[in-house]
Amino acid sequence: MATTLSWMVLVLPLVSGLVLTGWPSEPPRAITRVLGIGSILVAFALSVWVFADLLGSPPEERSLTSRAFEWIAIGDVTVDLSILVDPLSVMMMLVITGVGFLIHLYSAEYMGGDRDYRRFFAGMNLFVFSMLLLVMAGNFLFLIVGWAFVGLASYLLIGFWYERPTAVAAAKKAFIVNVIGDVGLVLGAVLILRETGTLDYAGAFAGAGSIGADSGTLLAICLLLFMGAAAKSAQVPLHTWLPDAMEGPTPVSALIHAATMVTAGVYLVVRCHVFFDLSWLAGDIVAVVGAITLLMAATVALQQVDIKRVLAWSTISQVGYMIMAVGLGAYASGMFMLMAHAFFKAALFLAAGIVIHALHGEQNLDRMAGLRKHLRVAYFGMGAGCLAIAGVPGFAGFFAKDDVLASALAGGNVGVACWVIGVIGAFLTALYMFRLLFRAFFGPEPGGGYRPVPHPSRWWMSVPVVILGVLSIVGGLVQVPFGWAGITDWLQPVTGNAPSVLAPTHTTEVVTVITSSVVALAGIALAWWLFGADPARRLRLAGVARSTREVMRGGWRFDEVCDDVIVEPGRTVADVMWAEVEPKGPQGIITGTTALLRGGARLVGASQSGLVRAYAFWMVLGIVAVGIVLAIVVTGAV
Amino acid sequence: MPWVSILILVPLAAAVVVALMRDRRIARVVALAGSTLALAVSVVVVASFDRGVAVMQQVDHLDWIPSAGVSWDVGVDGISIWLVLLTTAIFTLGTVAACQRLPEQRGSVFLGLILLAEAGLLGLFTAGDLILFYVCWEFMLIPFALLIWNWGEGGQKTAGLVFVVYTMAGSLLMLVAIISTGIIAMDHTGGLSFLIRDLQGVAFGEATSTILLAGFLIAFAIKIPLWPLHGWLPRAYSQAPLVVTILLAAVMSKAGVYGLLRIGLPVFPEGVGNVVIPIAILALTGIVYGSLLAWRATTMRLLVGYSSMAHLGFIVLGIIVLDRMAAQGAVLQMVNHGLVAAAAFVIVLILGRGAGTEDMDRLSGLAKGAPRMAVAFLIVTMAALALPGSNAFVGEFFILGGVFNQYAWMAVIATLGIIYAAVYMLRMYQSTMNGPVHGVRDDGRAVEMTARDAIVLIPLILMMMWIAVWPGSLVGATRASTDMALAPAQLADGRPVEQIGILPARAALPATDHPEQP
Amino acid sequence: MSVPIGAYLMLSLALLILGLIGVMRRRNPLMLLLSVELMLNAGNVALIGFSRLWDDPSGQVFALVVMVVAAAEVVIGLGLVVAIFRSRTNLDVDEMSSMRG
Repeated sequence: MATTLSWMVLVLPLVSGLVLTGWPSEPPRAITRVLGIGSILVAFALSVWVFADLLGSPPEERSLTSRAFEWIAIGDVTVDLSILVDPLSVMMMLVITGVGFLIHLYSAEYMGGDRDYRRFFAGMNLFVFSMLLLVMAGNFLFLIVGWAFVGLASYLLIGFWYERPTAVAAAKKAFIVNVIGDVGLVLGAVLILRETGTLDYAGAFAGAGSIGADSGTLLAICLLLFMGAAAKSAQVPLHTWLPDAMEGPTPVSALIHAATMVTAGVYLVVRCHVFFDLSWLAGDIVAVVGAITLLMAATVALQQVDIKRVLAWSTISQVGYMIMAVGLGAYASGMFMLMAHAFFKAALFLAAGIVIHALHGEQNLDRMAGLRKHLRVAYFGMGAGCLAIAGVPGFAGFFAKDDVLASALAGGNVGVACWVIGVIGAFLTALYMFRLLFRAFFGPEPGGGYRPVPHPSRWWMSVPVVILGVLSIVGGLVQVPFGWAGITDWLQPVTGNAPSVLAPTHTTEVVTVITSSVVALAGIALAWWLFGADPARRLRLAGVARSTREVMRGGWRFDEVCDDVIVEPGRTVADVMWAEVEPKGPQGIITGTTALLRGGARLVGASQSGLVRAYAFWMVLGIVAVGIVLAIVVTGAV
Repeated sequence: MPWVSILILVPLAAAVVVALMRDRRIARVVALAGSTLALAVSVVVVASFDRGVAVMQQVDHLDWIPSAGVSWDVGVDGISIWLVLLTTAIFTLGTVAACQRLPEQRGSVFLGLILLAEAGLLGLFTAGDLILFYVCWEFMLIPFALLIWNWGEGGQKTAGLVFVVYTMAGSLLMLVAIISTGIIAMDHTGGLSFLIRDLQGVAFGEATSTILLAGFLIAFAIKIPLWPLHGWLPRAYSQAPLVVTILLAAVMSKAGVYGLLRIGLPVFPEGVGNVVIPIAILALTGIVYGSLLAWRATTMRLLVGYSSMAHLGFIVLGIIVLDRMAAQGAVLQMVNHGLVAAAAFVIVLILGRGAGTEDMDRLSGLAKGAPRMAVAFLIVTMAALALPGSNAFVGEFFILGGVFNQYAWMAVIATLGIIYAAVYMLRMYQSTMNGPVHGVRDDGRAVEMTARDAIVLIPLILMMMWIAVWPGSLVGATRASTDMALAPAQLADGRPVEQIGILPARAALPATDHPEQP
Repeated sequence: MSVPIGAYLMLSLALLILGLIGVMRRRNPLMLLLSVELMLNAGNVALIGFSRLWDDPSGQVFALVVMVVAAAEVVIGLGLVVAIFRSRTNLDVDEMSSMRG
C-alpha cells in the first residue's frame, strides 16, 4: 500500500510536468495552476498518507522496497527501477511536497505577470519529481539520475529569464559545478559497484563491512560521494554557484536553492551513513568542510547588500551546519536541522519575494527601509524566519541548532572544535539576519518615500508565508531537549545504533542550550545597536576594516581564484590546441602528405613530354633493359 | 526467407532505380519507399532475433568466388543487430530529410547515392566474411565521397578527396592484412577461407596476431577516427551536405568500432594484449582533445563533430579495456551515439536553415521565437552531455564502471570528458537559444520546429527516450555476443573469464568444413 | 619438312624491329598504327613458331586472339585518327602533346 502510494507521489509531478511541456500552446492559466499546483498538493496528501501508514507499522517494518522492472542487466550487474520507502525518504518526501506545495501556491501569483507561466510550472514540477526520485531511489543509479535531474531543473529555473546574460551565465555555472559533483558521485558509485558488486542500497550497505573499515578504498568512496554532496549542497570549495543562482525567480530560490535541493548532500551522507560510519577520517573531513563553510559563508553574508544574496550565503552557512552534523555522525540532528531550515529559509525567501515584488524588482538593501508598516505579511514571515534561524529559544531553529551543537560537543576533539565554530557561526547568523531585518523593515523610509507605494500582496502569496512563518515558530517542537526526540526516534530504523552515531548527552545539552541562547541574543543585540537603533551609525562605521570587508563581500575571492587556476588555464590549453596543435598535427598530416605528393608529382610530371614517339622510345629502352637483366639472371652470368 | 540478404539488396536495388529516374518526384517516392522497406525488413530481422544465441544467426551463405575462398556470408548477432536497425532507421529519416530539401542538381542521383551507402553499411554490419567486409567497407566510401564531392557546401572540393584518400590508405593496409590472414590461416582451415567464424578458430600466435591486428587497427582508427588520425573529420563534416554529415556521424562512424569488436578482438586475441594500453591512451587523448576542440569550435557543425570524436573515444575505451560491462556499455553507446549525433546534426540543420548561419557567435536568443525547438534542443543537449537519466548516460556509466574495474586511472581521466561535455554542449545551446534576441528575424520564429522537421527529429528523440527508460531491452540482446567476442582476448591476456563455456574452440588444428547453413 | 624455330624467331625479330623503328621515326599516326600492327604480327609469328615446335595448338589459338584484338584496336585507332583529323587539319603526333605533364 505504502509503496503504491509512493509510486504515485513520484509519478504525479512528472506527469503534470510532461503534460504542461507537451501542451501545444500556452495553456490557460487556470489549467496550468490546476496541473502544476494540484499535482503537488495531491502528492503531499499521499505522502502524509504514506507517513501515517508507516507510523502505524512497527519500526522494524518501516523500510519498504518496491521494484518496477529490471532496468538493465549488464556485465554481472542487475539494476532495477526501484524505490525505497523508509523513514528517511518519507521525511524528505514530506518536506519536498509540503514546502514544495506552499511555494508552488506562492508562485501562482508571484509569476502571474510572466509570459512563460507554463514553462515555469513545468520546470518546478520537473524539479519536484527529480527531487523525489533522488530521495526515493532504491539504488545508486537512480539516485544519480535524480541527482542530475534536480541539477537540470535548477539549471532551467536559474536561467528562467534566459534573455538576461547574467542569468544564463549563472545557470551555466551552476550546471557545470554540479556536473563536477555528479562525476564524483558517479565515480563513487562505480567504486561501490566494484567493491560490493551491486548498486542496490541494501546490497551495497551490507557489503560495506567487507571493504575494510578505515581502508583507503572506503575513504575514497566516502570522499567521492561527498564530492557530489558538496557540489549540490554548496560546500567549500564548490559553493560558488549558489549565490549566482539567485538570478532565478525568488520562488525558485526558495524551493530549490534553500529548502530542498541544496540539502540533498545532507540526505546523501545520511543515506550512505554506513560508509561514513566505517571511516572516521571521511566523517571528520566532512565535518571540517561543513564547519569551514558555515563560518566562511556567515562572514560573507554579513557584507551582502542584495537581499537575496544575504539569504543565499546564509543558506550555504546553514547547510554547513547540517553537513557538519552528519559528518560527525549526528544524523538525526542534521536531518532535524534540514527540516527546520526548510521551514524558516522558505519563509525568509518568500517574504523577501514579497518585498521584491512590491518594490518592482528592487533587491538592494540600501534602497529599503521601514517596510514594516507596508508589508505586514512579509514582516511576519521575515521576523519569524529571523528569530528561528538566529536560534532564539523556543523557535524551530533553536531546537535544531541546539541539537546539532549539543551532539557535536559530545563528539571528541573534532566535535568540540566544530562546536566552537558552530557557536561563533550562531552569533554571526543572528547578526547578519537581524541586520537584514532591521535594515529592510525598520528605520525611516528612504527619502521621498516609495514610489510607487508598496502594495500588499494577495492571499496566494500571503498564505504560504504565514504557514511557513508559523512552522518556523512551532516546527522545532518535534524534538525538544530533555523532552522527546521525535526525529531521532523516527529515523532510528535508518541510522541505527552504530557506535559512531552521535547523540547529545545531558551535559552537552545543558552547556549548549545556555551558550547558544546567550550567543543568539548577543548577536541580535549587536545587530540592533549597529543597524536598528540608529541607522546613521552604520554609515559612520563604514570605514572600519574596509578592505577586509571588501574581500568578504566578494566571497573571499573564491570565484577569482577558480577562474585563474582552473578556467583560464583550461581555456589557454584549448586555445593552443585549436590554433596550434590541430592545424599542425592532425591537419598537418593531411596538408603535409598533400604537399609531398604534389612535389613528387611535379618532379615526375616533367618527364611527361606528351610526345607519343618519345614514350615509345622510353618503352623500348625499358624492354631492352628488362631483357638484359633477364638474360643475366637466366644465364647466371653474374 | 533470407531476410538479411534481402535487407542489403533492397536499398541496393532502390539505389539503382532511383539514380536512373529522370523525374525527381518519382525518385523521391521510390527512395522513401526503398529506405522504409529496408527499415521494415530490419524490423523483421530484429523480431526473429534469438537473444540467447551468441554466434551469428539468420546466416545466408553462398559461395561467391570458391577458388579464392570468398563467400557471400551475412547474418546478425548481438553486436550488429541494433546497428542494423540504427542504420535503417537513420537512413530512413535521412532520406526524409534529403527529400525535404533535395539539391537542385541531379537530385535523384543524390538520393541514389544515399541508398547505395545504406546498402554498403548494412553489408558491413552483417558481413561474416572478411573479403565481403572489406568490399562493403570500400563500397560505402564511394557514395559518401561522391556526395561530399558533388554536393558539398564548402568552396573547394578538398574534403571529398581527403576523405577518400585518407580512408583508402587505411583500408589498403586492411586488405593486405585480410589477405595475409587468409593465407596464414590456410594451414589450419584446410583451404583458403575468409569466414570470420573459421578464422576465430585459428591460433595465430602472439607475434603474427599483433602484426595482422595492427593492419586492421590502422584502418579502423582512421574510420573511427582515433586521435591523431581524425584529420579528415572536420573537413568532411563541415563541407558535406548536412544530410550526409548526419549519416556520416550517426552511422558510418560506427564502422571502425564495430570492426574492432567484430574482427579485431575475436580473430586476433593473442595480439590484443599488446595494444590495450596504447589504444586506450589514444582513446583517452581523443576524449580530452576532442572535448577541448569542441569547446573552442566556431560553428555548430565543428562542435558536434569534435564532440563526436570525444564520444567515440569513450566507446573505443569501453571495448579495448576488455571488460564485459564496459564492452556491453560500448555496444549500447554505439546506438546511443548514433541517435544523439543524428539528432544534434538535425538541429544544426534546422537552425542553420532558419537562421542562415551555423556560426554560434552570430546567433542569440532563439528560444523566444522557437520554444518547441528549444525543448527539443535541450533534450538533445542533455543527451549529448550524457546527463544521468539520458540514454547516453547509461552507456557512459557502464563504460566508466568497466574501465574503472580494469584501470581506475583511465576512468578518472575519462571523466574529464564528461565535465567538458557539459561545458561545450551548454555553450552551443545557450549561445544560440538564450541571451538577448539578435541574429535572426522574427525573434527566431524562423528556426521553430515545423511539422516537416518534427517528422525527422521526434522519432530520434523518442528512440533516445526509449533507451533512457529501458536500456535493458537493448542490452539483453547484445550480452551474449559481446561476451563471446571479448572472451578470447580476455583469456589470452590472462584475465579471469567467467563465461568460459561460450569460448569458440581455438586450436592450431585443421578446422572442420564450412558449416552448412540452412 | 619443318621450318626450324630459329627462322621463325628471326622473322619475328625483324618484323618487331621494323615496327619499332616505324613507331619511333614516323610522325603520321596512320603509319604509327601500321607499325604497331607489324609488331603485333611479329609476336604472332613467334607464337605460331613455338606452337609448331611444341606441337601445342594453344599458341595458334592465342595468335588468333591477338588478331581479333588487333582488329579491334585498329578500328578504335582509325576512329581516333579520323576524329583527330577532323579537329585539326594535319596529322602529326608531335603536335599532339596536350598530355604534357
